[in-house]
Amino acid sequence: MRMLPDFNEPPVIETVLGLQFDSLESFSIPHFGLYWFKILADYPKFNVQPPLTHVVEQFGEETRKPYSIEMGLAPFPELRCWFVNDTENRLIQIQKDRFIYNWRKIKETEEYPHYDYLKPKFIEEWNRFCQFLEEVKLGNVNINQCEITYVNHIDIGKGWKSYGDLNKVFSCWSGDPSVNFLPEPEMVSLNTRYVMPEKRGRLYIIMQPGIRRHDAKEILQLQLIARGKPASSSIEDIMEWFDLGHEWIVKGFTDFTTENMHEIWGRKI
Amino acid sequence: MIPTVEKEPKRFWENTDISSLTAIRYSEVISLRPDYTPHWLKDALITLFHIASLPENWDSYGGPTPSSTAVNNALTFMRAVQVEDLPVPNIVPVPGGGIQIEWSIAHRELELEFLSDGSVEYLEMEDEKPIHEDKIEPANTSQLQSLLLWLTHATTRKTR
Repeated sequence: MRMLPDFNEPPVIETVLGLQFDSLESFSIPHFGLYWFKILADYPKFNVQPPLTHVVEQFGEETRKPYSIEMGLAPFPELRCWFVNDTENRLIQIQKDRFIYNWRKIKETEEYPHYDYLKPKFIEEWNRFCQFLEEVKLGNVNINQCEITYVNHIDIGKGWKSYGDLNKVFSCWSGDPSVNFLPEPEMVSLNTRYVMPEKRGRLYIIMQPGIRRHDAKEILQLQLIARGKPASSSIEDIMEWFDLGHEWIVKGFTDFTTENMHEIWGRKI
Repeated sequence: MIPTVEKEPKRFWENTDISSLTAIRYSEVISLRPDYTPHWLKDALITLFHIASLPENWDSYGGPTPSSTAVNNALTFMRAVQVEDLPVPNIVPVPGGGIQIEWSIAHRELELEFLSDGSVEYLEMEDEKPIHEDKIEPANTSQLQSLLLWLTHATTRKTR
């Protein structure tokens, strides 16, 4: 059993497990409805969204491939559909090259269901989607990217009061000027990325300030995204990659933030 | 079971520049980019969202909670105003569920009232005297921009 850092009150407000695969060319608008019918009892609400672009992490030689741009008229508008559960804290996103499973915090009192709880839910839904593809004869999927995302909200007043306090939140930010010329920053955003071992993917860590609408509170949004290619499209290899991505997100989050914040979030391990 | 469309307000305020896979609902957040946020916007958003959560009868005269239409229109407008040299506006709730945004520069004052029915009215004042008022389309950003242009040229004492 892996022992990863764990917190009593982690600031997580959303987690995403997403798969990207080679586009299912025959997947068309009626299939959204057919799939929805299959999951309707669990996901009775829907919401149409613009499609996501196809993103693949590239390394070394792959990045030197010449670009080719194809132009033409799309046969019909591309779209993405959210299928949302009754309590609106879980949803499935589908498009012709994506399957995404989200947990999102809806109520302030709602606790983050840990990865070990979300993992079997994801597997169950992915199997149901693959079964649907078989039923409608859309063929097998060839997974080209796995993506796991964690969104955290670090509220003002919990470990920081101004942008001059960011050294108390982020371990990479010293806040110490070299010659005492600069005043306290008015605003700060951070954008970093790391290569995972054996070029199995990348971890992105993005911090952006914001104002949360429902309580008018200033927050730091800290988002961690791990993305890369699994060894194969089998569920075992997909979950092996997700475990790696999750480990990088949890350890990366812990490394990126200070012990001061770990104490506030109630670090257990 | 009767399927339903998830009823949500327009999601134009949502953060779109972090991860596109997210579907944040509990905490719709207006992201502030250091290179793209006028200095007055942060305080203005905090005030607007405080006003948006006012309870019914906030004025003890039976005033309704500001409508989501008025709040969203005011929000869209403020986010569209990429003008750095404005002071922090005064933002107040108005009876009937509307939101008023007021800017004063020198001898000029601009009041924009975002009404609960989605309409927007403005009043231009000079030396504390009303000089022009009318309705505008909330989506007409060029008209709103011209109002701000009038306001930010307050050092010249010529009226339109």
